[in-house]
Amino acid sequence: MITTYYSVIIGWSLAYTYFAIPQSWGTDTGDFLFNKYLGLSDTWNASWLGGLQWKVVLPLLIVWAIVYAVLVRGVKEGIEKANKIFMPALFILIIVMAIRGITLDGAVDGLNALFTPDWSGIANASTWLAAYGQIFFSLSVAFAIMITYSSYLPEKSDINNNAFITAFANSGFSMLAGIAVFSALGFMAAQQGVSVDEVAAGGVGLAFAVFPQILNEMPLGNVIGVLFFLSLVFAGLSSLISIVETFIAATADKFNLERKKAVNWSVGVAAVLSLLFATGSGLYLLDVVDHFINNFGIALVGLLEAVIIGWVLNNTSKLREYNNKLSDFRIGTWWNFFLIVITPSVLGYMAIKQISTEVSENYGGYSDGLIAIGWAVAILALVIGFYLQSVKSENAEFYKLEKEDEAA
Amino acid sequence: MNGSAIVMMLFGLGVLWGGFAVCVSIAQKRGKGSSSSSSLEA
Repeated sequence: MITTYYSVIIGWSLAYTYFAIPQSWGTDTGDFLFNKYLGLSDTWNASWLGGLQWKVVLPLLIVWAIVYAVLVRGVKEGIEKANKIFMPALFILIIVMAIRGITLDGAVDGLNALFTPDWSGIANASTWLAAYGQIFFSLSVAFAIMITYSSYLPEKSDINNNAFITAFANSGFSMLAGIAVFSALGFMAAQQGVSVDEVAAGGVGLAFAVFPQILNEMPLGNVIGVLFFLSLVFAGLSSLISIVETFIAATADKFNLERKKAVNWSVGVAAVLSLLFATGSGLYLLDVVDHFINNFGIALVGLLEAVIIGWVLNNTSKLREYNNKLSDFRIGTWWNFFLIVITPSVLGYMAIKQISTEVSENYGGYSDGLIAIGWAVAILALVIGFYLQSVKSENAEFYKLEKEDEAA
Repeated sequence: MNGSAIVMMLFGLGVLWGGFAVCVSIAQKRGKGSSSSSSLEA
C-alpha cells in the first residue's frame, strides 16, 4: 500500500527536477504546487476524484518503468547494481548541497536552530518518544525490508555488524541532509528578515513549496534545485524498490511463482492503484492513507512483532546468542531489554495515545468519509497480511528451514 | 555558530560517520560477508 503513494511523491520529485532548470514554479511556489501542478480540487470527494492529472501521471509512469526495469533483472543484476549507483550518487549530491548550504548567508542561524541543545528536553518523556518514533520510521523497521534484504545475504553473514552499519549510515545521511536543509532555511530566514522557526515547514510543503522559494533567491539556484530534487528521486527510488521487493519475494516464495511473473503482478497492481493518488483529490487521499498506514499499520505490526518475539516465543536470549556466534562483536543483554521492555512499551504507549487523539478529533480536520477510508486501508492491510501469513505455501522449499529448526 | 551548536554537530557527525567507518573496516578486515564486503546471493 505504501508503494502506491510513495511512488507518486517520487514522481513529483522527478517533475520538479525538470521544473528546477527554468524554475517553472515562479514566485508563488505554493500556488504552483497545489493548483498548477497537482490540480488540487477544493474537496477530496470531487467528481471522479478531480480526474487524472497528467502532469503527475507522466512522471509516475516513468518511476514505475524504472522500478520494473530494476526489479525484473533480479536481486544481483537489478537491485544490487541500481543501489551501487544510487547510494554513492546520493552521498555526493548531499555533500555538494551541504557545502553549498553552509556557505550561504544566514546558514549559521539555521545550523544554530538545528544543533543548539535544549537540555531541558532530556528530562521530558515526549522527547524520547518522538526520538523513538523518528528512528523507528527512519530505519523502516517492520516494513519487512530488513528481513527480505538480509535473506539475500550469504548464510554466515555478520549480523551485528551489518545492523550497526545500516543504522550508522541511515542516521549519518539524515544528519548531512539536515545540515543542508537547515542551512537553506537559515538563508531564507535571513533574506526575509524573520527567525528560522517562522520559515520552517514539514512534509510536502517543505520540499515542494518552501525549498523552491529558497532556490529562487539562491545563487546557482537552478543547479542546486536539480541536485536537490534528483537526490529525492535517488533516495526515493532505492526505498521504493526495497518495499516492492518485499512483496515480490513473499509472493514468489509462497505461491511458487517465477520471479518475472511476481514482478509483473506486484508492479502492475501497485502502479494501477497509485493512479488514485495522481488525481485532483490525490493529495488529500495520500495524506490520510499515509497517516493511518504509518500510525496504525506499521506501528501496530512493529508492536505485534516485538510482543510475539519477546513475550510469546520468549526466545530473545537464543536469538542474541545466534547473532553473537556469527558476528565479529557481541551485543549484550541490553538488546534483550530493549526488545522485551522498551520497544513494546514505547510502541504500545504511542498506539494508545494515537488512538485517543484519533477518536477525539479527525486527523487534519478531514471529513468522516475520508477518515473512514484511512481506517479501512490500515485495517485491510493488517487483515490481508494475517490472511496471507495463514495461507499454506505451494512451495515445499518454503518450509525447509522450519523443518531443519524443528529437527535441531 | 555558537559553541554548543558546533560541539553537538561535530559530536553527531563524528559518532555516526566514525561508527560507520569503524564497522565497515571491521567487515573488510574479517571479510565475513558483510554488506560492504560481499555481494548478494539470490
